[in-house]
Amino acid sequence: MISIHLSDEELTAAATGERNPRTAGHLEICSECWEQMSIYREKLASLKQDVCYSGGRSALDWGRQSRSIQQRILEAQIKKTAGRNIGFALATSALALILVIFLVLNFRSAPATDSASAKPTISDAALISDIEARLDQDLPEALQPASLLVGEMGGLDEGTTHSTSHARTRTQQ
Amino acid sequence: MNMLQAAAPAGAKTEAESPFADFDEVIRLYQQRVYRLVLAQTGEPDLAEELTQECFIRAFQKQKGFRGECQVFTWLARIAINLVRDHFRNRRFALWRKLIRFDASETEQNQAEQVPDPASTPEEHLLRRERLERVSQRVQRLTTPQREALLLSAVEGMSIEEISQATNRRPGTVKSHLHRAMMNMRTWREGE
Repeated sequence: MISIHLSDEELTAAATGERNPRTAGHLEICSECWEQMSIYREKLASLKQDVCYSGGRSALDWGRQSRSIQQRILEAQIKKTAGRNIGFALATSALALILVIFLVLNFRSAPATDSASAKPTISDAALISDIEARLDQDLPEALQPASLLVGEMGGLDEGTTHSTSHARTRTQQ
Repeated sequence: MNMLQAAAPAGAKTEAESPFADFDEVIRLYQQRVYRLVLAQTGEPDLAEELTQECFIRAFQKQKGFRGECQVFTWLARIAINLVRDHFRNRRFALWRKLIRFDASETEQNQAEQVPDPASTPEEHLLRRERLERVSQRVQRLTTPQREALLLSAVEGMSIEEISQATNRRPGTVKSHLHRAMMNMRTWREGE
């Protein structure tokens, strides 16, 4: 004896192929539910038939569509590669531009660097004369008359004269 | 090596592991099913052809994203469904644009749709158009989720799980949409 029939939800689920032991068991013994489910199945089959028929095309058409897809994929690939190349070219150009700007700026700042490097040359000369003066100052007493003589003779050069004058002053002191 | 093997994107899986290694074969195997699915949803052959082509182009470009968790057709159906959704979303805006400025090309487009398939007889072409109109009239009564669930189940024979993957909806939701679609389907009369 069949007490409860299948619900619409159970019937539609069974019609779409969903497996449920309770539903399957009931459908085996209940012709009423089986009939209801068969109506759903027929409607589904009719829909499938209509869709398949209306979507049917000749082999020629499928071949044409297949070629169109292949063609479009290739075009998309080419476009992508071209885009990548343009990007690379732009990046290279930007890099080159940055390099040129850097070189120009570096070239302009170069004279300033020269003037800065000239300063140590002057200080070197001053340092040498200072050393010479110190050497003169530290002349042993025994050589001091000789240095005076050299000074009186006109000296070896200006720096030496200058240093001897210091020595003289020191002697006088 | 075929045309599309040579153009395969860099980093694509090797031939042994990827189902897309021979993409020409993928097109050959699935283009009819994808076209059918799109046509049933749009009811426009030209648009269905365009979206089918777009579907395969996207599949080719995004083949690295296929992780093999579902059937190839389920993955393709998902792309196709998203394309149809996008199309109808954009079409709403296009309608307003058309209202603002008269589009003269529309008449030409309608005429182009009337051009019969050279490989089929005029009678056959007419019958196909009639059947397509009938399908369109019926499925347009359904909501988009109901339509998607019904077509994938009835026409493609997909399970609830597969429909769930293709439509990106939970299995319970799919089941509910499918049930409502079938309740609506019960009202369909023969020859309508």
